[in-house]
Amino acid sequence: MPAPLDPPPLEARGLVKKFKDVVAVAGVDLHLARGECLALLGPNGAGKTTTVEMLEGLVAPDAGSIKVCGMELPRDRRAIMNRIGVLLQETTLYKRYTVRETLVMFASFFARALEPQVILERLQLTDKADVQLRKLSGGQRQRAYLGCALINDPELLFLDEPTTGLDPQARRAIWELLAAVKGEGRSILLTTHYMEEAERLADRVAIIDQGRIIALGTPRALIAAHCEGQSLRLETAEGDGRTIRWPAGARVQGAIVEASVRDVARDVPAYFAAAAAGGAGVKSFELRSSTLEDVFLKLTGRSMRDA
Amino acid sequence: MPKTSAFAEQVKGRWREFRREPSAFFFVILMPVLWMAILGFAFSGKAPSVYPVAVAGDAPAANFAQSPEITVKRGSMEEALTWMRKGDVVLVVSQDAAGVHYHYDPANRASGAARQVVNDAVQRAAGRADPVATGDRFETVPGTRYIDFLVPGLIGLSIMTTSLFGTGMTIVVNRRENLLKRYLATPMRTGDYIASHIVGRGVILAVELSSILIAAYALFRFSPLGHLWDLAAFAALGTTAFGALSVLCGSRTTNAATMNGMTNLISLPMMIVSGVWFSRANFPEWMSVPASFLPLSALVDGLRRIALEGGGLASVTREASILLIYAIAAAVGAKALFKWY
Repeated sequence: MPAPLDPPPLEARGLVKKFKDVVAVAGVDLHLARGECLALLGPNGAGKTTTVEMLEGLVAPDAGSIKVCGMELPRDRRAIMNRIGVLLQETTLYKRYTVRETLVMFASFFARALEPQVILERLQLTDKADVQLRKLSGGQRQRAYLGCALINDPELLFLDEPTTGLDPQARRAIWELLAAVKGEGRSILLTTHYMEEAERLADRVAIIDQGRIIALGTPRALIAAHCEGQSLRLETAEGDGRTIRWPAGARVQGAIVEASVRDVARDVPAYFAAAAAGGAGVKSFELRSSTLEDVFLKLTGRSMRDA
Repeated sequence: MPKTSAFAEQVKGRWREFRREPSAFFFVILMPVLWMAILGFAFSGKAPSVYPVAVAGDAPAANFAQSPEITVKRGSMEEALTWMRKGDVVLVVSQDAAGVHYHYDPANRASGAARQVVNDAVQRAAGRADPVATGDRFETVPGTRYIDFLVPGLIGLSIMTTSLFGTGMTIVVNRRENLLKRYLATPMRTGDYIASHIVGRGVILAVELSSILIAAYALFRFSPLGHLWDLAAFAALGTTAFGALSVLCGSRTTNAATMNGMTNLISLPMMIVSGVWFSRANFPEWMSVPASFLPLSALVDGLRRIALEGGGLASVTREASILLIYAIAAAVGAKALFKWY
C-alpha cells in the first residue's frame, strides 16, 4: 500500500497544444488524488483525447508541465510507462492473436506484470482465452484491450472513451469491471461523452469545451451549482407557447417549454397557471432531476450531442 | 510462468503473424516455387530452339526451309516486316540482284542466332565447305543448366520481395490502426520492435529457403555445390539487409499505397538489373558496374558463388560487406526516422 505522503498520481499544469492554427487544448490544469476517478466530459473535438494523450506521454505539449506518480514527463518516460495503464480510442491490436497471446505479449513490455491468467479471470475472459481477437464481439474485445491496460497492475489508468461503439449491455459490463478496478485504490482518468458513464464512474467531472475546463467538481456539486433543482418540461395542447406569459427563466420552443425549477411546490403550479391563463391546455408534463447534460447545456448554450 | 523479454516476445509475434496470414504462405512459399517451375521448364526443353523466319517476296527458301531449326513463313516484304514487329518472326530474308539480305534487330539474340542458321544453310547450298569438323555436346548435367543459374537468383528475389513487402507493410498497417501508438504507451524500446521485424524475417527465411531448395531438388535435381549452412548464413545476411531497408521505407507513412509505391520503386529496377534472370555481363559496363553494388546484386552474386562454385563464406566477403553496409545504414536511418503514429 502506498504511504499517505506519496506524491499524487497525476498533476498537470498549464497544458497547451496547437495543431497548425487550431488550438486543441488551451491551458488545462488537472490534479488527481489516489483512488480517485476523474472524468473529462465533453463533445467530440473538445480536446479530451489530446489532453489525455499528453498525459500519457504520446503527444508533447506546447506548454505546461506533467507529473505522474511524482515523476516528470518526458524526462522519466520509461519509469512512468511502467506504472500507468492505457486504453486508447480506436486501436486495433493484432486480430490473429488470441486473448492470452495478446496479454502475454503486453506483459513482456513491463518490468513487473501480473499473470495473464489473473487478468483473464478478472475480465471474465477465461473461456475466450484461446480465441483470436478477430472472432470476439466488440464488448469482449474491449475487455481484452482493458486487460492489456491492467496487465502491469498500474497505479494510474487512462481510459479514452472506453465504451464508445459498444451496445448498452456490453457498456454496462465494462462499467461493472471498471467500478471493481477503481475499488482497488487505483486512480482513473476517463474521457467520455456519455453522461451516464461519467455519473456512474467518476468522483469528479471536468467539463471540457473548446480546449478548456469550464467546470470541475463532483457531479452532484456541478448540478447543484449550475442547474439547481429539477428540470421541467411542458408541452401545451393547442396554441403557440410563445404567446403565453411564462414565469421568468423559461426556455420556449414552439409548444415546448423547458426550465429549471428550485422550489417544486411553488414553481410547478405557476407553469400550469400560466398555461391556463393563456388559454392553452397541457398535453404533457415532465419533471426530472437535472443531469450533467443540463449543466453542459446551461454552460455552453449547446447540447452535448450537437456541440 | 516466467516472463519472456519484450524482444523475444516480439520475434515470436512476427512468426505468429506470418503463420496465421493466409496470403503470406502464397507469397513466401508458393510464388518462388511457381516462378522456378515455369522458367525452369520453359528453358530446359530437350530440342534445340526453333526460330520462326519470314521469306519476303520470291527469295528462294529451298536452301534452308528443311533446316530443323527454322520454320518458314512467306509473304510480301511489307507483310514480313509487320510479322517481325509483332514478334511472330525473328528474321526476314529477302533477295535481289545484289544478293541475299537479312533484316533484323541486332539487339535481339534470337534474331542473331536465326541469321547464323539461315546464312550457314544458304552458303553451304551455294557450295561452301566447312574446313573444320565440329559437333555439339549439350551440357545438361546438374550444375551447368539455366535452372542452376536461376535458383540462387530466385532465392535472392524471394528474400527481397518478402522482406520489402512483408515487413514494411505490416508496420504501416499497424501504424494506421494505432497499434504502434499503443506500444508507445508502454515501456517497450523502439529498438526491440524494429529489431524484432528484422530478426523475425530470419525465421521466415528458413521456411522460404527450405521450400525453394526442396522444390528445386524435387523438380530439377538441383543441389548447391557449397555448404548449405554457408548458403543459409549468407541468405540470413541478405534478409537482414532487406528487412532493415523495408523498415526504413515504412518508418513514417500511414498510407499503404505510398508504401507499396516506394517498395516497387526500389524492387523493380533491381529485379531487372541485378542479374536474377540473366547474367549482368549482358549489360554495358556503365550499368553493370554500379549495379553490382545494389543489395540484390550482392545477394544473388554471393548465393551463386556458394551454390554454383562451391565457395565458402570467405569467398563472398565483398558481397557480405555490401549487404552489411546496407543493413546498418538502413537500421540506423529507420531508428532515427521512425514515427509511432
